[in-house]
Amino acid sequence: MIEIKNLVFSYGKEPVLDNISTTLEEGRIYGLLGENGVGKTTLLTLLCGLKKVGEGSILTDGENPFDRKPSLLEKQYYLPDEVAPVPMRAVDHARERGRFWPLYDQEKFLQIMKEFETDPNMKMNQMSAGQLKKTYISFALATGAKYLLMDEPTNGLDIPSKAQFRSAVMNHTSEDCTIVISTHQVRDLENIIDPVIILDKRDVLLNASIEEISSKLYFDYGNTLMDGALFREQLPGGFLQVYPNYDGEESKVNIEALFNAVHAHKNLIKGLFNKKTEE
Amino acid sequence: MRDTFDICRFGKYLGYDLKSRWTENRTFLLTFVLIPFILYLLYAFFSGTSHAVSSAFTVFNFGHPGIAVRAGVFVFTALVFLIQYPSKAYGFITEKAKGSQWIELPASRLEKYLSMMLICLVIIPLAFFCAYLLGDAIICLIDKQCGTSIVSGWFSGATDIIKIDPVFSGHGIWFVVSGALQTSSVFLLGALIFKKSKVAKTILTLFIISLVFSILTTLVMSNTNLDAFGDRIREWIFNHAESLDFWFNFWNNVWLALVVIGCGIWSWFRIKNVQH
Repeated sequence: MIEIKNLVFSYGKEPVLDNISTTLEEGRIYGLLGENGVGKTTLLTLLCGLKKVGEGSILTDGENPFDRKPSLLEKQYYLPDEVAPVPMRAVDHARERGRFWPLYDQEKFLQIMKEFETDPNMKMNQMSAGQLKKTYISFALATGAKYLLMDEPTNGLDIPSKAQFRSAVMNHTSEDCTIVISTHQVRDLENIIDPVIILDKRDVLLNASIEEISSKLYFDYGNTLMDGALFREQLPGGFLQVYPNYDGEESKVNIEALFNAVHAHKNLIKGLFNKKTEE
Repeated sequence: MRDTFDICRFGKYLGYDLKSRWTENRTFLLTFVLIPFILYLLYAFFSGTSHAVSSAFTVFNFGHPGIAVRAGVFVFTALVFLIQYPSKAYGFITEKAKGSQWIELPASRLEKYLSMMLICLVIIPLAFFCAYLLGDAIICLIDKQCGTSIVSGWFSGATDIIKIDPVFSGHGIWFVVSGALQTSSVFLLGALIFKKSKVAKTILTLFIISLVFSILTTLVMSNTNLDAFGDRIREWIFNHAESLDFWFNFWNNVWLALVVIGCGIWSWFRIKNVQH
């Protein structure tokens, strides 16, 4: 479990994260959403120990990630947005690095590369950006890490690869694996992320499961305009509207609409979800 | 304890680090190691060219690279290599993508640091010297007109160019080793501190430090009774006439230790706290 308590981080005098507290539980695939510059990448790099926490604390299984202890590094893998093109064949690079993760499985790496239709014998510095990203995703999943932190993993992937990514994440991670995916491409990952974390400048606006969101908000895909919508978008043949779910009706959560609704009514949404937590 | 240092993991990491450095820098390493052969071929080429035109212009006669030329080229090549190699090998630590990967690899900071110091200060310079000098020896073996090899020259005293000052006579090899250690550790630190133009910024920093020291020394000397100071120096030299060699080498080694340990400590803290 990852516990974030009163986390404060700034770049010089520019505050990025201010007094953030939240908990990431085991066996979940968290979608980390937020506008540009709210600190999604910063939060991920803090979670994996690439940056030092200013104030507050982050504890992953009781350990401070910035201590960079091998026992914790063996349990986590961070996939950055920008990946390095190494002058090595993907298969060799994976084998050499994989030896450091106790649960690393080379067969699984090759299997995922096959699913991604990427040649593992190709040199990584001769790969396209998409192929390189797929190689790193395959490696990340093959490490068997308990905590997978991914920054914009679907950036640079073509349309079939996005579906392959979703299926690889679902098929090649263990049940106790916690995945945090920071993304702007919510439609790419809509069906796999649960819970959703929406980050605002210096605050966590929402950290709730899809079930919780569905019980608190109603997503109307009808063609009648209703009053009191938190967010409304015209779609071909109708509207997508988001309301507070007073009647407890079930609906399919649309994450993009949720994001926009949360941003348009920050305090209302926070109140709605905090009330549930308090109850 | 296992989180600080584990001998099996260190061995595994050192092997991985060596393999990675070789994969990523082999062109650079091979280019420098092949310089004796390149030099020889250049001599052969220009010798042939000058011979061809010698009937018209008998100006140049390249002949064969003698010990003095080869030793001079060796010192220059070694210096350029030792200045460049640390940033080629470990400069990536300050880069976002590669540096993040390096930090996230499950080995302890101490293991990564020790591996880096061993490779940068011992293994690679040693391998470079051995390969370079072996290449030089092979050339001398093939073409007797090149004279003695640099290694034999060291022991026979033929490589006077390396001795710099008579006070170091007999310590040519240690002079090269200590110079290599100092250069590698200073430029490794520069590679870890500066994000871009690592070599140029390190040289500039060294230049600024020398300038500051020169100004400070001038200020101190201008307020000192130079005659009395000179007398004391002369007196000290007179009293230590028989052990001058020892004392100069002693202070040279103290300085070497200070530079290497100082840079080593600074590099450790840089590694420990590097962030991306």
